[in-house]
Amino acid sequence: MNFLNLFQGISTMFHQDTSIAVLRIVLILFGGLLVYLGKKETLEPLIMIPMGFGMIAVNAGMLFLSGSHIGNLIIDPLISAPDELMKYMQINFLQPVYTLTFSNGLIACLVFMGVGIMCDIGYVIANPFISITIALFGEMGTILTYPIAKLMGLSSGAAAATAIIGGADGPMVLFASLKLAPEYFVPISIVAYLYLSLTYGGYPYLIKLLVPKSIRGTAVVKTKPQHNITSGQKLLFAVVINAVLCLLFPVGAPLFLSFFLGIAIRESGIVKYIKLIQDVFLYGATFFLGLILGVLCDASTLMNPIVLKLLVLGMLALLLSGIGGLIGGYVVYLFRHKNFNPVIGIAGVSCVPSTAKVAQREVAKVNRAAFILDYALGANICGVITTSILTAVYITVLS
Amino acid sequence: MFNLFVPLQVLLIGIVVSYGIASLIKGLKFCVQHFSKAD
Repeated sequence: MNFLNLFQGISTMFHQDTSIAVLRIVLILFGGLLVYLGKKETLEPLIMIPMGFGMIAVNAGMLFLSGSHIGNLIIDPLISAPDELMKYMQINFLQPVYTLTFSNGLIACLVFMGVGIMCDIGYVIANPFISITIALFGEMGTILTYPIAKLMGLSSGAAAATAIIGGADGPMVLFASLKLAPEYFVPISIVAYLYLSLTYGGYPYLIKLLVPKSIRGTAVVKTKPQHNITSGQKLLFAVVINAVLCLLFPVGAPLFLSFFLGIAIRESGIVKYIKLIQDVFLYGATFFLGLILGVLCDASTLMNPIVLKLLVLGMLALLLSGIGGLIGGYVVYLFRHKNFNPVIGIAGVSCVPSTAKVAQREVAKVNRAAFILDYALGANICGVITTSILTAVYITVLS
Repeated sequence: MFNLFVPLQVLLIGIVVSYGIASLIKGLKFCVQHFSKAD
């Protein structure tokens, strides 16, 4: 008996290509690093801790399956033949979660419903044009990354799905890559979530670089009296906007429905549904999202040469969107005769509510009395709406 | 050239729809406040 065969996680490394074996070790260590950075809250712990654990388990837990085929008992994202899929649904423990919630976009919609529950649409209603303008500037990465990705040799679908990383909405990237580039669904989703968790730590540096300290502390003076918007009115807005967007872009209807349903339930005040979506759906979906993303990071999947391009393009998309958002902030700052804080622009990149919190935190560091969170949340929510619109337009134009 | 056509198309439609939604919100806000005052 070969002693090494007793410990198949190790022995498989000697039967695989050296580069894959080395990458497996690197990914095991990287998984540990993600857990550590999640615990330190340098990266988003809700995603990174399950993701790091999944990454370690899938790369360590390789074994010999039928014949000399090497695989794991956790997940196989590449199965599509119905008979084989049914077989593996009974073998791989996360296969049912992946097939029935992840690869059909359900998990993205559940997260989006949770995002809707967190959003107070009243901030958008208070200043719709300012919020939309900033959000549109915050889509710079979503627009400019597409031609760059095409020049780097990506197909139209993959280029659009990668560009949507610039919208900084994880569920939207999942949804878009499923529709536009299902063959690259796994690497695009991994890259998107890896970078999205970095925005919280990276954008403050961008703000410090592009907004001088003298402007960063600007307080926004409200010149017009603010009308009180009731929950009934907010519900009406959610119903009408959802109906209009579904009419215009039926391909984005699952996302629009999920997001505005979340808002509608929040405004309806149905406490039991709010708790169900916020505490069960959102956290349950986020947990499985992190875990599935982790177990999808097996070495052979990431050996795909496209991953390197995606890493560059994903970073570029988020960087361009951040710069665009701040440019939008400056445009409104000049348009309103300096009665605006350009830092609010970073919230137009979406990523609810992280970027709005980043904006308020960076402003408060310079001027503790400046409260810009209401404007930032308005831009933040509009960022979700504009990203949904651009995603739906990309899908409609390219499919 | 073709590489730019798709994002320009997306941007243009995105701008029109987004500002359309903003106008809709503004219009609805006006109506809601007008009618609630009338009540």
